[in-house]
Amino acid sequence: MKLSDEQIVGEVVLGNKTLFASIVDRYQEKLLRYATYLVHDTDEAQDVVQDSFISAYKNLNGFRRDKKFSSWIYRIVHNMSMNSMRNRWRFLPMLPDFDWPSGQDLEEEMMYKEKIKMVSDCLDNLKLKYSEPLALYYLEEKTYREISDILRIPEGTVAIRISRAKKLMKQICKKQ
Amino acid sequence: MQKTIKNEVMEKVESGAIKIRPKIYFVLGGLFSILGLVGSLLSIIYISSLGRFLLKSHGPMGAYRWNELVAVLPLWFVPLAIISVALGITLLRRFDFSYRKNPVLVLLGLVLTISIVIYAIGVLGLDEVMFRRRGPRYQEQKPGSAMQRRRTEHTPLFVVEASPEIEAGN
Repeated sequence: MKLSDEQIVGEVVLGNKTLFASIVDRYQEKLLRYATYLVHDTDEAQDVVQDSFISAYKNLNGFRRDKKFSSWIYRIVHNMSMNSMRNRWRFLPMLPDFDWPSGQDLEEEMMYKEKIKMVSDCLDNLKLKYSEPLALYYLEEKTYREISDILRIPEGTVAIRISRAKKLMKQICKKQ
Repeated sequence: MQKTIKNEVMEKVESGAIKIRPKIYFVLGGLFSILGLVGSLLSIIYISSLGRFLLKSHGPMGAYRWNELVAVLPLWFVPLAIISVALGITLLRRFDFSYRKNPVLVLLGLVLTISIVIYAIGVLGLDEVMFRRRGPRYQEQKPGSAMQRRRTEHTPLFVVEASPEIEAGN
């Protein structure tokens, strides 16, 4: 039987440290993609994700088990990314050769990469306020509720921002 | 790259270099955060009330009353307020790390809200209505007051009135 994230956290807190590895396994790829999207630098994103896992482990007792673990860990990555960007004092453009792992065959992967690049280029021209909920919704496949938990904004605001972001994306992508 | 993240994290976890903070840490953190918030709230009310008193016209003997007020001020409250504000903000940052909160904005919001409420109370004269001070005569006559109760206790249940014949000595 596959344990849920919350159950694993319960086990880790009880002393089964090694189970934390399965949490890392489940989330590292997604979180790395999300952090890279936010900080626009793969090395920095790696540091952010690593620090986030360490921070999450230290504060596992502070996690409320009635909430979703995924929203909690995404929130930590969001905060760590914001701190990292604030420390850097400037925003770097998305690296053109950034690789989004997909696990598909070569031709499909090429098309996928092209599509992602196009979307990324459009997203880069959006304000973070709009692009982040959009990325969480489409790239990370999060629900409005989860995005609301991650970004600490009401669900209504999430819906409005995503709707505006889509309209802005259309305009930007048409121009390009 | 991803293997490195897992390896590095698990190495620290298994070697004991990083440890899970005990639950009490978070309970105390939450408690101190609330205390800090309450402390800052009280200090803001306290300081704004003083400011309001200073700005208001005090009538005759105003300076004397001000001096009296300053003389009875609990001065320990000022460092306590400063410490509680600092503690509250620090703990909010440390224990509630997964929530994005701007402590400066939280504090500013608090100050602004309380200032507006105090100003509104002053302008509308609600303080005169809510906290009206009455003299000792009012306290005596107020229903349910100790003096009133004493009076009721000593009032006889019935009064025997002398008949006109008795009064006339017949």
